[in-house]
Amino acid sequence: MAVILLIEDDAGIRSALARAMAERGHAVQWQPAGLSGLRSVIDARPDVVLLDLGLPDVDGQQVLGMLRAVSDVPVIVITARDDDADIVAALDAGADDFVTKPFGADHLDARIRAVLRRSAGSRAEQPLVAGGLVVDPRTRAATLDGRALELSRKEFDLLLALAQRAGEVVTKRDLLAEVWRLPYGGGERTVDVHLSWLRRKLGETAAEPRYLHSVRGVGVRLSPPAPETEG
Amino acid sequence: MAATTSAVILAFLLPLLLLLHTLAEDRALDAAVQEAQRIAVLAANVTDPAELATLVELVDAESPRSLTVVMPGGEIVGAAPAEPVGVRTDDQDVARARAGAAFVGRTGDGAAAYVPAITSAGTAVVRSRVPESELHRGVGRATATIVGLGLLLLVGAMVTADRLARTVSAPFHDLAAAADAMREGELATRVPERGVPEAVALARALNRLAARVVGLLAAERDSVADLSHRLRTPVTALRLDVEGVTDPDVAERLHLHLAHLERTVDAIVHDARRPVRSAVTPSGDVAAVVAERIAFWTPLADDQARTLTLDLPAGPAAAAVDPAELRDVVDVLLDNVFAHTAEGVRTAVTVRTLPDGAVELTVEDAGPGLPSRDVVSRGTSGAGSSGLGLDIVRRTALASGGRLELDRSPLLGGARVRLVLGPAGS
Repeated sequence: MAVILLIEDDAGIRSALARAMAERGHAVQWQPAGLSGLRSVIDARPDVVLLDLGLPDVDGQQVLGMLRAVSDVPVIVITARDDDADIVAALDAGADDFVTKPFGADHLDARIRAVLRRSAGSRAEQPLVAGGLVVDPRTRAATLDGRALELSRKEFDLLLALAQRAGEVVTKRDLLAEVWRLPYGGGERTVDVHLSWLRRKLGETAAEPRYLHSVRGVGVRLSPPAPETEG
Repeated sequence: MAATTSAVILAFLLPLLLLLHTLAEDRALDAAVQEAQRIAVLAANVTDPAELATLVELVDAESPRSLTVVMPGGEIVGAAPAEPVGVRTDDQDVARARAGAAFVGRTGDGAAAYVPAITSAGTAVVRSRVPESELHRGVGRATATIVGLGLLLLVGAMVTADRLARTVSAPFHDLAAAADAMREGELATRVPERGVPEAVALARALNRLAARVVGLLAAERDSVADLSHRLRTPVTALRLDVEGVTDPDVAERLHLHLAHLERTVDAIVHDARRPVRSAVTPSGDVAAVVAERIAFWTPLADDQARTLTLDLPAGPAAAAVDPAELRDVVDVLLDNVFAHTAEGVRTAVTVRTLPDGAVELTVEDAGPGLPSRDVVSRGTSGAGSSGLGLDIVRRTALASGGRLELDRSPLLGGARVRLVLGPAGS
């Protein structure tokens, strides 16, 4: 589905990741070092670049800088260190997202898809509208039927992720990866709790949904309620 | 200190007092000798006895001494009649003086200066007698003054010595206190470098030592953290390949082992990042944290038609656990209930303070109960991460001086998790 360029020096990760991404329908090319990777970005024009920050020949941040000078391709950086400073520096240098080692294939897949979605829709950073619900990613404000919603950070991120895929059923796994950056396996109740809070804020319940519809065993879907008919 | 000072002062004072005594005597006797000599000159030159007698009586009247002249013929001129003088002694000394000797002799009461005077009629003897009182005039007052000064000196010396000693010893007390503080883990303690040169040198050495220890510990932790980060790369490859395992049983087991491995590496990194010693002993209010987390989970509980009953003490229940860890623990316990019991199941959460100050948190439900006793041992529950979650809870309990107990709830029939946390300040 996407052409991925993986710039990674560890052979183990390379082979495992190539296989895992191929299983999910992506085409994977790889380069073992920063400079050769840079050349491939220009030559092969991938849809997304996975860049390990711990490369042996050049500092990952520098590769990022050089990459951004020649291409707008979405970049996800891979890092073993989860220090805020490193991650912030990478994002400031032009990375679109980051994953910390160790990560699972599904998690990475979800992030790749999210990044691709974001870059596709980034031209039009318009507020998303679904029925009476308006979600503006730029101002991070949401209103329902004109009334402003008081949402926590995570609640807004959750609503935005669902609004960006309005009408689609989004799996909890995807939500965990996109909004919480957590791998699946234990954290899904976090999604449930925040979903419940979001429902409260929207003035509905799971039993009587209006915008948020849970599909048991699959995930949740945001879609506006059918307009009420008079009479 | 006092003994030395008083001995020194005494060693000075006693000879001084003796000297004073002697000086007073000498002064009095000198005056007597001079007086006698002047009168002797007078006696040698004044031939008229009546005139001599008048002069002698005049001088005697004004003198603090008793002035007597024994004429060559034996008659006494001057103060003789009023004296209670032993005649024999007098005669001996007089005779000696008449023989030509000028001397000072002791009498029963004081001393006397004898001076011969050569007159035309023979040798007269002039005697100037100094009474005892005149001999030691002023000694008493001087002695009192000197002794008073001596005492003052003693007291002053002792006070000064004490002050001085304190100034010297105070920095050493500070040094000892600082060393103790460092031993307790406050490696940021530094000692002010003041006082005598030895104290300054010691303070400097101690400060350098503390800095070195901090540096070594930090380097140690850095290398541990670095190693753990390097571990994450092969673990990533492992995870990606484990996910490719098709056999579901094998995949599940491998997943659990992998999750355990990842958490261990995370724990190592987390521990290595902690400051060398947190300055404050951890303390968290269990009642407040439970109330806050229950409030967080309530909407989901409502959506899932779960009844959550809460029994909290009236006031705070402080335990020796950091509030952030406490939140994680409560979340794990509640998450387990949601994960392992069906919707609509009743749950009861109780917090109470035990008699010894420990805090007990109980989470029990009306669900199917715990699969086996081995749930807490790592990764064998087979139900995803719950085994590992309880492992973290157990470690937190043990670190606070408490314990984790798992059994069947007599009240609701399902699982009962009882967490005992050590009292804050333990």
